[in-house]
Amino acid sequence: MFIYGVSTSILDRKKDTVFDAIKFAVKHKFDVIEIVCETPEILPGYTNPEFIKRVKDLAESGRLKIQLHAPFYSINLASFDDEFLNFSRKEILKTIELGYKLEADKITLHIGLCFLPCQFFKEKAMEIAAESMKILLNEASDCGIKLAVENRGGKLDLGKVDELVKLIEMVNSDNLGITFDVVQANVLGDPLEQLKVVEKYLINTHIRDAPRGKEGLLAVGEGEIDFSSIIEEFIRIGFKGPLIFEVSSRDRAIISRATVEEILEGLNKKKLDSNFDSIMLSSRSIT
Amino acid sequence: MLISVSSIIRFKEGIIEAIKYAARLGLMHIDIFVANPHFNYLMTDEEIEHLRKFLDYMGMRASLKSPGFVENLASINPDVRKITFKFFKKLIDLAKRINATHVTIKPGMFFFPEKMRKREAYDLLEEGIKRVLSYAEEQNVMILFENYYYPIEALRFPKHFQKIVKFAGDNQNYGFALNIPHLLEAKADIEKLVKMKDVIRRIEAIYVGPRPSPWELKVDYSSIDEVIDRFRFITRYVIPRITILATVREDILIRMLREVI
Repeated sequence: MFIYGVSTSILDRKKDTVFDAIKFAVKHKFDVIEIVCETPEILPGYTNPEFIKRVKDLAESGRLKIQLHAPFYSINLASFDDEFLNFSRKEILKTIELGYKLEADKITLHIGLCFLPCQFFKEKAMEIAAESMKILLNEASDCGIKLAVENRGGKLDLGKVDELVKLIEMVNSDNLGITFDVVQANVLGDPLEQLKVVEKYLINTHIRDAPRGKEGLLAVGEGEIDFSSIIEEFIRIGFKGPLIFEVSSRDRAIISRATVEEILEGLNKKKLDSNFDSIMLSSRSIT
Repeated sequence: MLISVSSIIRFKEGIIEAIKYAARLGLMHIDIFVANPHFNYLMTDEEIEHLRKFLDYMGMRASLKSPGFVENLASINPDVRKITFKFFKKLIDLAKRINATHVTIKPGMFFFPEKMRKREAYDLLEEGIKRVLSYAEEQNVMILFENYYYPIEALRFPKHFQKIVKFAGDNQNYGFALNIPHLLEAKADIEKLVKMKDVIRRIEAIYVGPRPSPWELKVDYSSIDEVIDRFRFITRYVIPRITILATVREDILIRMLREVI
C-alpha cells in the first residue's frame, strides 16, 4: 500500500556509517533511504566521488531509492543578511549537486529561521525565502530533483503549515512540494488538522511519534499521536508515500512499519465490516 | 559604570533613530544590534564615515553585537565556521573604524552532529576563538563573549565561562558580556559564577533585560525585578565597565534605567 523508507536518524552516530543504514534498509526491504547531510562523512561539497559511488552502488544493488535531507543547522533561506543568505543558498545548491550524483529524486529542506528581523518584517522574509526557492528550483529541476520544504514546530522556525502553503503559492512550481513531519506538527497542536492544510502539496513525510506537544524520535505507537486518523487521511487523499521513518533506532523503524501495517489492516477490516453492513442492509430492504 | 542601551529599542526605525533616542535619554553609549535591515554591516566607506561622525556629533560611543542567530565557531561544517569567522572579522574591522568599545559575539553551538563529536567540536571552538581573538588583538578591538540559554549553547553555565578563559590562553584582549536574563533562563548557578575569580574579573559588560530575551513583547514586570535583583547581587562582586539595557519595549527600558541608576 505505502512506499516505506528510513532516515539515517536510525544510526548510532558514534559508530555507524551511512553504509550501515543502507544495508539495514535493504535487508529489511524498505524502499527508500533518506540521508541526512549533517555528518562529516556526508557533507555536501566535502564528500569524495569514490564515497558517493559506493553509496550509490550499494543502494542500487538493493533497489533502494535515495533521497536527501539538506543541512539545516545555521542555514537560513530567509535571512536578511546577504552574506548568510548566499551562504545558505550555496549549501543547498551543493546538496542538490550531491543529490544529482546520487540520483536522488527528492531533497527535504527547512526554509529557515525567524529571528527578530523576520518577526518584525515577516512579509519580506517570505519574499526572500521565495526568491531562494526559485534559485534552488532552477538548479533542482535541471537535475530532475524535487524539493520538499518541511513543516517546523519551533518558536524560531519559519515553516508553520500556513507559511509553507503560502511559500508554495508564491513560487508556483511543480517541482516544489511539502515534507510533512508528524512530530513537528505535534509540537504545535493537532497533526491531522495541519496535515489537512498541506495535503494538496504533500510529496514526502517524516513519520515518528512523541508525547503530545513534545518533540521525539519514538516509534509509531510509542507516543501519543493518533496515527490511525493520519493514515486514514493519507488513504483518503490517495497519498502513497514515502513514509520515511525518522526514528532513533533500527528497531524503531521496524516497529513503526509494523504498526502502520497493523493500522492499515484495522482500517481495511473496518471498511469490510462497513461494506458488509451496507450489503446486509440493502439485502434486507430488497426482501 | 557606563549605562548603555541596545539599539533594538528602535529596531524597526533603524540605527540612526536608535542613536538619537539613546542621546535623548542622556546616554553616552549604544550597543548596536548587527542585523539587517536594522543595521547593515556591509557598509560603504562613506557610510562608515558618516556613522562615525554621527556618533561623535551625538557624543556617543558604540559597541557592536553579533546577533547570535547562526554564527557557530564550533560547527563540524567547515563552511559554517568559515562564514562565521568572516562575519566576526568584518565586525572587528567595522568596530575599529567607528572606534567602538568592543564587539560582542556568541562563541558557538553544539547541535546534534557536534554533540556526537564533542571533543572534536571543542577543539574547533578553541581554534575558532583563538583565531578571532588573534585578529581582534591585531586590530586592537576587544571581544566580549556572551552567554546564551538554549541547551545547545557553548557558553551557558559557569563552567563554560572557565572553558573560554582556558581557550583564550594568554590573550588579554577579551572579556565577557554577562547576560543576566540568559543566566536565569538557563537556571545557571550565579552564586557559583561570582566566586570564579578568573571569570568575574573578565566581566566587562552586563546585559539587563526581560526574560528570556530582549525581544519579548509580553513581559511580566516581576521577571524584570528578578533580573535587577540579580544585577545588584553580581555588582557586589564586579562593577562592569558597561551595563547594557536591552529590550524592545520603552516602558521596560525606562523602568530598568531607573533601577540601574
